[in-house]
Amino acid sequence: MRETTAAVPGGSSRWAAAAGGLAAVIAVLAVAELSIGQPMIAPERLPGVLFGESGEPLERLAIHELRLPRLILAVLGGAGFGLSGAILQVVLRNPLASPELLGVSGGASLAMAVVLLLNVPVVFSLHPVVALAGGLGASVVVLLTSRGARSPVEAALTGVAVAALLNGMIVAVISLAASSGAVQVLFLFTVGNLSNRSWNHVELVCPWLAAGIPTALVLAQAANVLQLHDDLSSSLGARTLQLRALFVVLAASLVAALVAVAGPIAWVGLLTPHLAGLLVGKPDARLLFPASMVIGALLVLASDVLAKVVIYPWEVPVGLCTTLVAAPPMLWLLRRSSAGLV
Amino acid sequence: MSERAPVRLAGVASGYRRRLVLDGLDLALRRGTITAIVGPNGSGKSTVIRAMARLLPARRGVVLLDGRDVRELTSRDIARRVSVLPQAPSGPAGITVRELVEMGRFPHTGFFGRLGVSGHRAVQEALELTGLADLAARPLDELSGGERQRAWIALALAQGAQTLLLDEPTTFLDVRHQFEVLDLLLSLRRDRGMTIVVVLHHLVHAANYADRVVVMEGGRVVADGAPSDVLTVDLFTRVFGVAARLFIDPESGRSLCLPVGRSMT
Amino acid sequence: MNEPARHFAAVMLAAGAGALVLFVLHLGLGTVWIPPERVFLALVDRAADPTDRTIVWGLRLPRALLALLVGMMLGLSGALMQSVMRNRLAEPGLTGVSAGGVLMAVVFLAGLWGLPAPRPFLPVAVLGGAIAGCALVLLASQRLGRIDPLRLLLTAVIVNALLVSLTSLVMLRSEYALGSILPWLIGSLNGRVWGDAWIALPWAGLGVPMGLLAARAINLLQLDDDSSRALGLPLHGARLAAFALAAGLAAGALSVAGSVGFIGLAAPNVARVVAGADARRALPLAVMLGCLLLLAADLVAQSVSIKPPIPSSTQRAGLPVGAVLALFGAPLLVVLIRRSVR
Repeated sequence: MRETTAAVPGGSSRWAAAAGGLAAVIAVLAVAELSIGQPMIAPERLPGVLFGESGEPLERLAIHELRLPRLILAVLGGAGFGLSGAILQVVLRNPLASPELLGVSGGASLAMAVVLLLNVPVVFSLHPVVALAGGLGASVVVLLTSRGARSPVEAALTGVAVAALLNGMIVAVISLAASSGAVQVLFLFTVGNLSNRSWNHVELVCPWLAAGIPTALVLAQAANVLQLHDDLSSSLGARTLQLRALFVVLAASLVAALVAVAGPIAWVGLLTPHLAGLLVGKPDARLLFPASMVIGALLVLASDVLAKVVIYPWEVPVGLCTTLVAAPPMLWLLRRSSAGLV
Repeated sequence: MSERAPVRLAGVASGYRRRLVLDGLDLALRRGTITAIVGPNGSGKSTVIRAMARLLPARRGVVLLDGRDVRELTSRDIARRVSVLPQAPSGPAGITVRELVEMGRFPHTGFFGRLGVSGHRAVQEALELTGLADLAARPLDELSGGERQRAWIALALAQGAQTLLLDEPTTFLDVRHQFEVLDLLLSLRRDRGMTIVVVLHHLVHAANYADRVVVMEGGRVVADGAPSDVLTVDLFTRVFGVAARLFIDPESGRSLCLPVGRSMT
Repeated sequence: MNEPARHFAAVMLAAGAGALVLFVLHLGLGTVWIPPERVFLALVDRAADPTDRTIVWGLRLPRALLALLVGMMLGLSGALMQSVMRNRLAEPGLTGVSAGGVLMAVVFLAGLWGLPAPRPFLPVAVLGGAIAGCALVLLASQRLGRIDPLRLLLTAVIVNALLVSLTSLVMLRSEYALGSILPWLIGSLNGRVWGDAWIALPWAGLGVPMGLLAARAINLLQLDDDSSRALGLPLHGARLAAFALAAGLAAGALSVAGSVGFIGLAAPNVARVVAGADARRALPLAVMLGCLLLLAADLVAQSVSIKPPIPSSTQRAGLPVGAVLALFGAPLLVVLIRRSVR
């Protein structure tokens, strides 16, 4: 299993300190998220604009109609992807599992690409369902083809191959549709993007996460049991196959709505559980799941701030920044462990 | 009879990145004998084999093959003198026995050379010696454990080296296949005068097949000699932490010291 | 000749014949259909119809030749990567070549170097990027001068993602780059001229024979580390050389055809199933199958472009061959993956 370097041995006081630290960082990032943009709004004025009546009409519009939903979406997106990754890594006993490597992101994106580019008439509120169908379909393919893999790396390679396949298909679909706007659409489906998202999008995402997150937290102990060897957990009464399938569906549904509105936010699902594991110290899902949510939210929020800042005044899709932000720690983690992430 | 040992370790210190396993080990093989290396887990048995074949560099001391320092020899020179069967050999899936054994000619053909008449002959001989001539076209994965092990030994034989080092060749085989492999080693020593070193877990096999037993513990040699001299009740207690009893083979009259569990004491 | 050797010879002959047939068909296909007899005459007879000769020699031969050469290079590159990684799901993209090359192509097209972007220099830029990408992967993954297949794999996935993000970043700044990069991202042989063929020829001419000659060493690379070293193989040097050759072949293919997927993964796998695991047979067959696949795919790509079935697509030069491979290859690939992960 993953390395269990207990980073927080001091008990509840260390916990409180870590939690406080994370909360502070998130608060700072939230402030940045709301301040940065066009127009720039100084942090001191934010409370007034947010809760009071002050501020120019343009500023109020920016805050209430654009940045606040974007902030919420970033936090939810990070939490959703982080939790999804944690669920998959725990339940599939593979430290390389993630929504991307399981085909969930790719399948969801492909489904959305087909629907939007070929103008299949699907009402907006049902987009997450389409994404979910695509994501689940692809993950079924990956799981079936990687059954019998001799090691987690082999299974992950299957995921990489299928993900590359799906990506190729997405690009192919886009090249078929071939209008000039289609290439812009390329970014929507292969890279996550949070710009120009509004309350509609938040409303679309909320029910899925509101259902999925508590379910995952409640079932965390069951996830723990699945970490044991299959024979052992069966003898403990868990019906391993069905339980695993349930968790995969859960992981996919957490991500489906997010992909439908923002595209796949790369790497968050893969990296977050590892960072959470370093923080939490033991592979206990009951701690790992909430920690992944928090760290995921932090990661995406930081990436989104970066996305707004890096080539200011233009914006960059957040998915690019998550890659840029996630790659160095991942490479570091890789070098650190003597035999890969396994 | 040659004075020089086919393989000699003199004052060798060797190990892995963080662990020094052997610290000043002296060991010389005698030509044309079967030497069994035994010892508890972590005693350095595999390390000795790997040091002999220069799979692990010696940090101190010197390893000599036929009197020559391994550091002066190229990998292919070494491969022509010593062949190794590692603990967990693996090959590409779907490869046939013959294709595997042909790889053993690499030290002679190099990257671009052709197999040649001598190469084909060596391969055929290796297959026949290991009794695999009929199975040569079968994929390796379809063979039984014992047959697979023999195929890897055939690979080592095709190398043409006179010294064969085997790291736990019998550990995961069932009883019949264990004896298949050991009988093969015996015939190689007898018919071809090969020098053989075998790391074994089953002390019974060491007692029955080896000319010389080397017992290792904590990276050092704690006993070295003929099986009957080395495998004593005292050794079993001291090194392996088990009780032992002397048994006499009613047919050959030979005495063997074998470990017994608590239920028998 | 013994049984397996005869079987192999028969297979190679059949594949060769198939490739020849496809090649001739390829030369015949276009806005003007030229039947095979006339193609043959145009190729060999100086006194054949001058229009035929112009079309075949001037327009179609470079493309067909490229399909042949690129197919060969990708087939071999994939086979080499699979030996180095000791995994049947490895493919040329993992060398970092495609991602690096595409990044450089985009930078070039976006004119970010402040230079004009004459089309003939594009392959050179791409090559430079390809080499840089590969070097990055190697540097990031090596430890104490050794290449560990596991770490190489994971590093490659991460570095590739990083490079792809940077590519997207650049594409955002330049509309022009955006439009022209699509065929590169997916692989295309449209509009290829003799200049491109001249570039590919030395790569293939040198690289393919080298790879084939090293078959014995490739075999040894597939054994476990101890066995191959005990046989006298300089393991790390051999791995590095194989990796470099795979990268070189992929770079060559990339510089003229863009990032063509599927072939590097499929051709070696099918070759292994048909000819067995011995590289002395599997490599030549992989080369042959690579040509066959790309010729077939490009035939389909060309014929689809003549009468495009998709209503929304605008006037285009033709379907990129990569799109055909991605769409039709996908189910085949899934079957292949399933078979290789027993």
